[in-house]
Amino acid sequence: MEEELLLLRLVKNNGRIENLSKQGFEYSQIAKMISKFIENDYIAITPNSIELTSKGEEKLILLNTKLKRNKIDKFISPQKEYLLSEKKSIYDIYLPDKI
Amino acid sequence: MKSSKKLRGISTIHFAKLTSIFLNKSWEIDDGDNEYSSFNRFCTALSNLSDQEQALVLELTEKFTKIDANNYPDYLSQVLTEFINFNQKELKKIQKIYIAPLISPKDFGKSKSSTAVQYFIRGIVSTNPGIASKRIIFTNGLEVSESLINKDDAILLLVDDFVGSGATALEAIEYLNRTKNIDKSKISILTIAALEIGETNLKLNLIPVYYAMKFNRGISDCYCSQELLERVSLMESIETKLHVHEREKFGFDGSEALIKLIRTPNNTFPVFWKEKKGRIAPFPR
Repeated sequence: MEEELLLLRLVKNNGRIENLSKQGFEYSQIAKMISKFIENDYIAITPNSIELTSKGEEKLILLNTKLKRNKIDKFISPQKEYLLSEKKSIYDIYLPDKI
Repeated sequence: MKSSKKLRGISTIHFAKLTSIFLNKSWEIDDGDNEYSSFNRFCTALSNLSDQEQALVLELTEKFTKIDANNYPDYLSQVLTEFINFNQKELKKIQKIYIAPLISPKDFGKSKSSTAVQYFIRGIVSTNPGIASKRIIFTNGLEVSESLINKDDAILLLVDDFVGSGATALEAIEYLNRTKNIDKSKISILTIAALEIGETNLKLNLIPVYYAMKFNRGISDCYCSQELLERVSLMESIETKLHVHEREKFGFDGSEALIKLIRTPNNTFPVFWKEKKGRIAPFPR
C-alpha cells in the first residue's frame, strides 16, 4: 500500500522513479505496478504527459486516509532508504557512510 | 541493477513510456527479481542519460525490432519463398542447391550466427514445395568446389540473419570468387534482415539479396531540417558519454540500425549495446 501511494505521488508530480527503486523494488516490479494502474484507470498517458485520472486522485485520497497520512505527510512520502534501523539516543553521534 | 556511475534517474513519464513500449511490442518484462532482465538493463541505461537524451532513446526504441531465435524459422521460410517466387523460371533447370553460411574469411573458425541460420534452414527446406524436390547440400563453411557449383544445374545460397553495410558479404563473395573460382552469377544471399545500404552495395556488385525485412537509417532517413539536427546532436552527446569508437558512431560505418537478432549487430546505434567502463546496455553484444 505504501508503494502504491508513493507511485501515485510520483505520477502526480512526474517525479523520479528511483524514489521507488531505492526502496528495494526492481524496475520491472514498478513497471508491473504502472501497468496495473493503467488497467485500473488510475493514470493516463499521452505522448507528452502522465497524469492521475479522477479515479487515481480518489485512490490517492483513499490511501492517504488508510495510511493515516495527515497534514504535510499527505503530500510528502518518507525517503525510507535514509531511515536508520534503530533509534539513536540524543547523546549518540551518528556519522553516515557518505557525507 | 547497479551501474558503476552515479544515476541521474528516470522521470515517471519516461518510465511509463518504456513500460508501454515493452507491452506494445510484447517484449518480456520479467517482474521477478532478475536484475539482468532486458527491462531492468534498459532502465539502468536510461537512468545515466539526460531527460532529452532519454526521450530520443525512447523514440528510437519505438522503432526498434527485436527478433528472437524462435522466430527464425518463420522469417527464413518467408525469405526462401520470396527467393523461389522471384526465380521460378531459373529454378526449373536447377537440380542442386548448395547452402553455405555467409561468413567473411577473417571470421573463419569463429562462432557466427550465419552457421546457426544454415542449421535453421535445414529444418524448413524439406517442406517447401518450391525446392523440396531438389537436392539440397549444406556446405561446411565456405568449403565449396567450383566444379560442382559452376555447373548449369547448380546454385549457391549464402545465408545469414543480417546484412548490414554489405562489407562482410562482399568479403565472402570475393573469397569465393578469387580463391575458389566460384562464378558470382551463381551466388544469391538470403537473410532475415537487411539494411538498405547493404542491399544497394550488393546490387552494385550484381549480387541478388533476399530478405524478410529491410530497414533504412533510424535518424537520418526519418527526420529533416531542425528535427534532424537536434537528434543528431543529442545522439552525438550520448555517444561521447559512452566512449564510442570513431567507426562505431551511429552504428558501424554510420548504419543507424535499430535491430537486435540472436546477437545485436554493431550496425545498431551503440546506445543499445555498448558496454564500456561499467555501463549496462539494454541489448549487449
